[in-house]
Amino acid sequence: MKMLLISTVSAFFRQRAGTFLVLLGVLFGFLSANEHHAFAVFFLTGTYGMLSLFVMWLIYSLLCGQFLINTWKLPEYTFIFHARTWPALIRARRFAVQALGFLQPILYYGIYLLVVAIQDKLLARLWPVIPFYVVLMLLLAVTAEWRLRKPVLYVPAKGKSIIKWPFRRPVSWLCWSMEWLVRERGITLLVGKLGTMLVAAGTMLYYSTGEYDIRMPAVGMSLAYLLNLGLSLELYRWESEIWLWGRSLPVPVWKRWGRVVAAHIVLIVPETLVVLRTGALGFADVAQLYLLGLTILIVSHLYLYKKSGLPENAMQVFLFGFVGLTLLILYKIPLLLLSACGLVFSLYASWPRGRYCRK
Amino acid sequence: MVLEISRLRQRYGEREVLSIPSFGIEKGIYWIQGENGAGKSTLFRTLAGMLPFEGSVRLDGKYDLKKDPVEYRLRLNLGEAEPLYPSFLTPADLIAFVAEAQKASREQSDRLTEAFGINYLESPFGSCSSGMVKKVSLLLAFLGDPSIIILDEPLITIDREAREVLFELIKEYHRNGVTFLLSSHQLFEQEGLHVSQSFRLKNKTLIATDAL
Repeated sequence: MKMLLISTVSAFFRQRAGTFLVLLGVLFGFLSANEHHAFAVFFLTGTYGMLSLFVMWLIYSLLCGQFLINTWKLPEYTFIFHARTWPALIRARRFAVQALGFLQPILYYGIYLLVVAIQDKLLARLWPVIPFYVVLMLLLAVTAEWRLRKPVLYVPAKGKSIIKWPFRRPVSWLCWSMEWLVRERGITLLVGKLGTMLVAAGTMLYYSTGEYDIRMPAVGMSLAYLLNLGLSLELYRWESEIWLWGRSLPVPVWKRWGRVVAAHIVLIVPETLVVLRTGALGFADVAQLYLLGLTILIVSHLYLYKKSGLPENAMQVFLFGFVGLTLLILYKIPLLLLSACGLVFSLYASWPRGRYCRK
Repeated sequence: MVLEISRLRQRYGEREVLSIPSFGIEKGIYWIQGENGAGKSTLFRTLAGMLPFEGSVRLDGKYDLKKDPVEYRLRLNLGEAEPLYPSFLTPADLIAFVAEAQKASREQSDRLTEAFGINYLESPFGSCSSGMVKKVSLLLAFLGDPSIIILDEPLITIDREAREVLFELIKEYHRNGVTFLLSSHQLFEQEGLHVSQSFRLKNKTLIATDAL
């Protein structure tokens, strides 16, 4: 049982860490408690509330199922097919627990719905959640059983690609990094960009409701840009795990730093375009916000680099960092100055020296 | 000294994996032995600048891995035991990229491509077998103008023809002054390769096998 949870469920959450990070950022950074409550009440009382909830949970479960099917196909997962020898009842029980492991986020949300239902005296409306759980759990358990009964006895060839460029692939680290993000981390990229664009749009909407100076969008956009942290983490993994061997190549430190900066420059273009599109801010202001966002991400990426990934207490660090930055912005420290200091600091800290040689 | 290691320490979290007070070698072909998990690959990755470490590593008496990271890396190439490359890239993409970084000529990469019989230049790594990927990694290790080439388990998964090419290349490069650090569980002498000295990685450090 433990093997199933570690090899499949933990692997799912580990590989989708970037996506979950962005989702958490959007849910708890952008939506207020009142809005969360309003959503819960809608799910409980709205005409299509429960249906909407089920569709969302079903989409999530299908993603889990797709992960399970594809992961158990991998050559390193052939050991999983020993599970075929388990007695049917034990297998059913273990696959059910595995399914519950996948469904953890919606189970937690169910607890939140229960609390809201008790608080608002809507408990009678909550009952459909139970059959939802049963159906989704069965769906994932059956998916696991199906894959187990249909083992993949070959290594799938990925020779043909759907995307066929009419030109040779550029010999460029930046292009390869972006291609990797699109090909291998497509969902994280999609969710990440949707999240940041949503926060950017919300910030500009709020900005247009009153008389504010640049500090207001600076704080909002800092959060939006910071939500790229999940994608930044994926870029870190690309460089330090997927292609660790690349570090043995003779590339100067400033060039390696430049590559990281270039990748983030490309990464934060969509939400910046959202800000530009609203027309509420001039080009110079947007450029300042863009540079500030870039700095936030480069310094965050440096943190990931120095800590060799995302440590457990990382959220505290980022939270305090964000609060500190907000205070600096509110105290009218020029955004360009903040950006320049951050970029210079990241270059200085990236330089190899002292006990450890990182780059 | 072609390679000098001084007070090298390598850790994975709290666990110390390597602790080499001092180590040096002159030009030659060296066989690094060690049990599975002794730390051979970690040592090689550290020497190639892929992992952070404590201590110092110098090449040709003047290129320090920390102080001269580019010059050092230009002179030390690593062929990994189980190379992993992004699955969507093709050998052609990777060879062009590494050749540019290692300042290797087009002629050299073409010659090595032909020697190893890499006729799948446009197939993504995702569709290559482990032997095919391994041959590309060996080719990459010979690109440029290195002083040292480290080959970690160079014989695994490759076919007989590639094996012969590899030994011929090692002899040719060695004649031209290149030092080799090889790790393998198989003997090299049977292939007509004269090994200058053998070392065993034991208790986190390198010990000459004749001293054991």
